[in-house]
Amino acid sequence: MNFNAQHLIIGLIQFIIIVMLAPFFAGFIHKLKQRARGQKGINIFQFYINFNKLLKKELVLSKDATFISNIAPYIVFVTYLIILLMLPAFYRYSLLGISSDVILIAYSLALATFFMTLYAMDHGSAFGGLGASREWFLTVLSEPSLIFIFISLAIFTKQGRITDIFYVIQKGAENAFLTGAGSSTVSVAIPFLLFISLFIVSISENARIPIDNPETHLELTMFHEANILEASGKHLGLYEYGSYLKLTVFLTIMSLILFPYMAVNIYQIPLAFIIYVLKMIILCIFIAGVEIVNPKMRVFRVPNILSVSFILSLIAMILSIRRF
Amino acid sequence: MIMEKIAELFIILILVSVVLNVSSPFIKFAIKLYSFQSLMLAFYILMGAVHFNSINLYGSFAITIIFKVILIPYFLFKTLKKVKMDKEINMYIGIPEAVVFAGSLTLLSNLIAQKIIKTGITFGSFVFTISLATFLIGAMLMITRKTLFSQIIGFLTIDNAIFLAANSITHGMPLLVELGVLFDLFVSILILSLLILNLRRNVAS
Amino acid sequence: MHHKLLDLILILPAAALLFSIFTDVLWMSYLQLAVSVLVFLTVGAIAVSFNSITVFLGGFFFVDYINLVILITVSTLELFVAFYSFGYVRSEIAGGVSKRKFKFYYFWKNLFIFSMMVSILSNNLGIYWTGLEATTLATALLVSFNRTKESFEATWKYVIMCSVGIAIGLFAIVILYFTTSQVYGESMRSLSFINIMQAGAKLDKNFLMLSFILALVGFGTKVGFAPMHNWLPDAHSQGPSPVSALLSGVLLNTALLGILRFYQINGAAGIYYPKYFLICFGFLTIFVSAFSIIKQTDYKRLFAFSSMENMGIIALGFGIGGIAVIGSLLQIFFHALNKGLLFLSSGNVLAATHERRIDKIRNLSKNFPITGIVLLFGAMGISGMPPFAMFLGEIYIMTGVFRNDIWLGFLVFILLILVFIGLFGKVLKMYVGKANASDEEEDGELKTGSTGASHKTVIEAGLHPFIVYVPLIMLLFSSFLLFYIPYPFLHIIKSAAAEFGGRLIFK
Repeated sequence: MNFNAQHLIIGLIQFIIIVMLAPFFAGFIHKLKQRARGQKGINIFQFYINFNKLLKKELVLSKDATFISNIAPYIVFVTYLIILLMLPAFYRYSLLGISSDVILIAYSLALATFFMTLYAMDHGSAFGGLGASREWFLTVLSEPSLIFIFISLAIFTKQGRITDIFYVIQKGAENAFLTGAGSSTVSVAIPFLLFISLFIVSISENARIPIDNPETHLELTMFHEANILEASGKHLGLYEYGSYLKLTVFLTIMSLILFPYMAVNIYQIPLAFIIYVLKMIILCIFIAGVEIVNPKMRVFRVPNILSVSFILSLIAMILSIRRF
Repeated sequence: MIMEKIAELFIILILVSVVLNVSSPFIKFAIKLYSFQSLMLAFYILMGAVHFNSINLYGSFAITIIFKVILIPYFLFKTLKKVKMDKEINMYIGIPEAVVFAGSLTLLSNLIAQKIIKTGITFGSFVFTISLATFLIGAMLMITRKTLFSQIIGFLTIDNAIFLAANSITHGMPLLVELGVLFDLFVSILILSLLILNLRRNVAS
Repeated sequence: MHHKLLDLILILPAAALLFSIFTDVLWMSYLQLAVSVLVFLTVGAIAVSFNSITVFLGGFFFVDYINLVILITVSTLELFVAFYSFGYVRSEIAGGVSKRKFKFYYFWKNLFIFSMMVSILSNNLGIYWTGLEATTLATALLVSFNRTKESFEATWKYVIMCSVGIAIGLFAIVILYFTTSQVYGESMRSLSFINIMQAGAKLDKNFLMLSFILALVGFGTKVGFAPMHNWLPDAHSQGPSPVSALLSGVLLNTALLGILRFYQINGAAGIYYPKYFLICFGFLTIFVSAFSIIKQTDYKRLFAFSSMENMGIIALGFGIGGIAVIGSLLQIFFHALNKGLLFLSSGNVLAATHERRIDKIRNLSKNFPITGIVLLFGAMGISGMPPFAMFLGEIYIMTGVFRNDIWLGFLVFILLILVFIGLFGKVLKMYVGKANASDEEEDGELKTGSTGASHKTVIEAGLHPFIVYVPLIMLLFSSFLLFYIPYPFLHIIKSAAAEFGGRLIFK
């Protein structure tokens, strides 16, 4: 990969656009859900307004809080920003594409979770510990499938970087559908399995309905919310924005698996951008649909569905190993 | 080429539906999944029929739809309604363990398929892997679950796996034989439903 | 030989099936007698005039020496069972069982016989499979005939296990079809047994081997080979006695025929190691059943395990080859006869006493003079004692085993002695044993169903003469066969054995 100015500029623009769009996607899902329930629904840009308001509010910290409480929200937020810097959403050469190793992405996500739970426990309230342990219960179960998803993608395309992985898939599909020639990097089954698996993982990681419901503050049902119950002001704003970014990370990876189309030069960018936004909106509708249709699941049934995700990614990995 | 890939999707959906079946404790859902799985099998046969333009396979598609997608699930639902059985299935092992076990069975069948294919003629090794895995997971469903319905579901899953294998390594069995096999399957489901009704009546009284 | 004669074997049971729907039960029992006699005579005529493999009904069915042996077995046992049923139906109806139930009995029994005939005679392995699965389904409702909880559970186990087993058998057929379609293309010819045998060495050996193993496990479930035998004692002991006799006597052989066909195909392709699988499964089955017989407390289950043991011996004989194959083929016939009489006569005891436990049945010599003696000598015969025909089959098999491997022979011999002790000892206790204390004697008397009469009452006198004397005739016939085997039958056995490479003369 060559570092010329064009890549840097477009990569930066791509990054800024994704970060700016993140609250929009979250708001869109929220709005869809509310409309489906027959409510009038929030303003679709409500989450921007919320963030703005939270930044202005006073920050209150517990008297037991240590320095961790001061740094954790920033680390969480910055980690998600760094992951977004790596992702090739609609332009093939993302800003940090050269170091966008899939393992790095997987563990960066875990790092953010780690600091969020540290923050939760740092305040010394009962809910924090409860939330932290629940959060890890989910993460421990969904981590293996996330790793397997990434590894099977890497094995399937024989690439390590996420930008290269999706570029190889894109090229293979282009060749297959334009010229009709078969190649070893074209498959319907493996992306399909990975998509289902990643969908389940993102439902659980992003605290969506069958597994968690962040809209309520009942102690019995809280997963994600219990962690940031003590956060206020700027910290809460960062966490909220971080969760939108996390959602965007998962949605972007899913959109790439669903239909990889990335611009390689400046002329393809408008089309690629439109396709990206369309894919994201379709996925948002999909997630909102799942959230509307399903009731919240009992906590002890959560491992069932996560184990399915794990096994599907395992099967995808087996199938991609066979390609060698 | 594109057709092959779409066929691949149908096959993988069969395996996905079996894994989902292992993960779910609901009988109704299991019957629906079976119907879906048979539909995928039928579509796979249809792809073959279009590809090879074989009347045999078109016939096979039709009878699969009639028996496996419509009739058998219909009678199972009817029996379920009459029996008013508990919706939750009792199991000998927990669901996550069972799902992980199903995954390892898939691994195993992958190994076996590769062993066999190394020694002999190569045929659709992908389909063979999936059908072997479906077969083994179906057997596992029968062994690990206590409810009579899930034994039927396991048996039907095994049967689907054999049909998948028959349609992948050959272009389907002769139609006469296939018709006989499906009819026998259908009658056996009727008899098993009858037995479930009688067994429930005996337990109740 | 006329093709019409061959068609008749299939047409007659089908006709009986039709009659059983429309005819009254008592009339049906006469019709059944007529049909069974006709089938027996037809098979006899075929057996006498048979000289080469004959294909009929558009190539879907055929007769060769091997299925002729099983065909003779089926028709002979079915003849006796028809006579027994004649009496059985009458005495049960007199005992208060509804006529409608017996209408079902005749319907399912004829369906069973018909599908068994289809399966035995089929040239096409797909049709064989269909017929075999149909036998499972037809007998399912016969096994649950008594409509008790135990019988429904036994039926459930039977249908589920056999269906799964036969599904594995279907997998074997699919793989065989794949292999043969390399030679014949994808058509019915690729499933035709005769064509497959002709293709012989052209077939892929790995896939043939795989298909044999799958067939052994799959159809072996229905034969009752050891690790897959769980359903057998329950299913065979729960049905009405004539059905138990048919299940044990001939249905197991029909399933065994499938394995033998795959064995033959492997032999034709020049693969010789399937025989070790047969020896293995045979020995394991004898081993498991021998120890199960010793700890058995239910006499019908006892005989069911004995069927399992005999199937083990037969499989062992086929695996050993040579002279043992002749023994196995003889054993197929003799075992059906002997097991039939055991189940029929124990059915008499069950019908009169409604008691299944061995230790509750005592003093058969007084209460059941004829049935008791038939049971006693039948138990002797089934364990291979001399005055009965099974001695002949077992001596051939044991000779073969000893010539093959003396240690294996020694082990099998010990197991056979165990079986003899278990079976004969238990039946002897039932025959002459007395209840211990006097109060228990009264209790036992109540159990044996005599309504207030003195314990010298012969309960047997209340039974229909047919169901008392048919087992006796079978016993006499079995004893007679030891001394004189009709020449055509011997010829058929020898020719069938030759197809497995078996011969009478020592080399």
